[in-house]
Amino acid sequence: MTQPQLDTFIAALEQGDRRRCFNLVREWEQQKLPSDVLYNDILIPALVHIGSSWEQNRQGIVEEHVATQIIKAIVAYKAANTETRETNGKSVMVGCVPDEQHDLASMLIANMLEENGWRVTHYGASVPQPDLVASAQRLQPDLLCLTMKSIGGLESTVQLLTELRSVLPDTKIMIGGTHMPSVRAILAEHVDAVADSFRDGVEKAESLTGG
Amino acid sequence: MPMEAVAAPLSFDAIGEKDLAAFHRQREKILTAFIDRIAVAPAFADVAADAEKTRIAQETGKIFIENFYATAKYRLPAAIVEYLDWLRGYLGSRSFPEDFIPGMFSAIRHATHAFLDDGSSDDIAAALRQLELREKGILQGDAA
Repeated sequence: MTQPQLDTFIAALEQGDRRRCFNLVREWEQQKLPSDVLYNDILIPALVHIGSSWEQNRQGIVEEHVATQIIKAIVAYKAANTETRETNGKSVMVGCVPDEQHDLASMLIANMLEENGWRVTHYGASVPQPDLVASAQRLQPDLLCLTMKSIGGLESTVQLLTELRSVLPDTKIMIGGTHMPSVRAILAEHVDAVADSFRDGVEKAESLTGG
Repeated sequence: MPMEAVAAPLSFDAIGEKDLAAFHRQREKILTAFIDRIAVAPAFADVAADAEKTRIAQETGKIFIENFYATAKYRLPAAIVEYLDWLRGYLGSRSFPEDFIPGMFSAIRHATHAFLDDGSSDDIAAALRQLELREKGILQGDAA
């Protein structure tokens, strides 16, 4: 049943119609559409569609940003309004690798983990590496979940992962992002898991930290 | 020659760490040289005549230099090829001249020779030349 919903949502998104997008999400909530379905089968495919439209010059950069901001608002709304499962007693620190400005993926995985009972600390993007390491040392999370989109930041990412591994030997580290196939082998040397999708990330987060 | 160049597997193995570090240190100068080249080289005339294309070309040069450095450092030729496949589509949909990407490699290669005074530019230039020939081969239908 999600394809018609996805098509309707994309049509509103392409028009930059915030109210229509928000009303659709509330309508689906009333129909008890699970958050997992909203995230994985509507919002993420819609983002991929919008990204492709921009890449292929069918939509401009402003339209792409408008659509992204609408989805960010929905994800933030869901974070504040969705009931979470009973706590699983585990903590996770979620955010972007250094030099990565695209923080929507980290917002999404933060919501998904939180709704599955994790205690989430979401720092987003643009955090200086020394401050991030110091904060992680203070929080001692069970899991660090990092997102990465651009391969240009690979060196600083490897540096961060090496440092995190050295100061947090008991914390599991997971990374995910759109360039994972080509850089997977390098990153895999420095993390406990590479997530191939958001659903995969949620499953691996559980299995890495003892189910 | 293009056929052989396209057929040869792209490799960054010959590039020394010290030389690549020198490339990284000089990246701003190399980028500036490329940007300057856009404004004056006949090969980039179509791009230079369009303000939006010029902006995209400058941003593309910056991102390519970053990505080339990262993928060469970690010996990931497949990653740069994947990026170039994406870039070809992105620029193509914005009506960039087909020879823009090989032209960019040529300009960056020449700038690398000019600015790598603290290290050898030969192996980096060879990799850029291989990428340039690969792109030209794709334009000629030698590879997909």
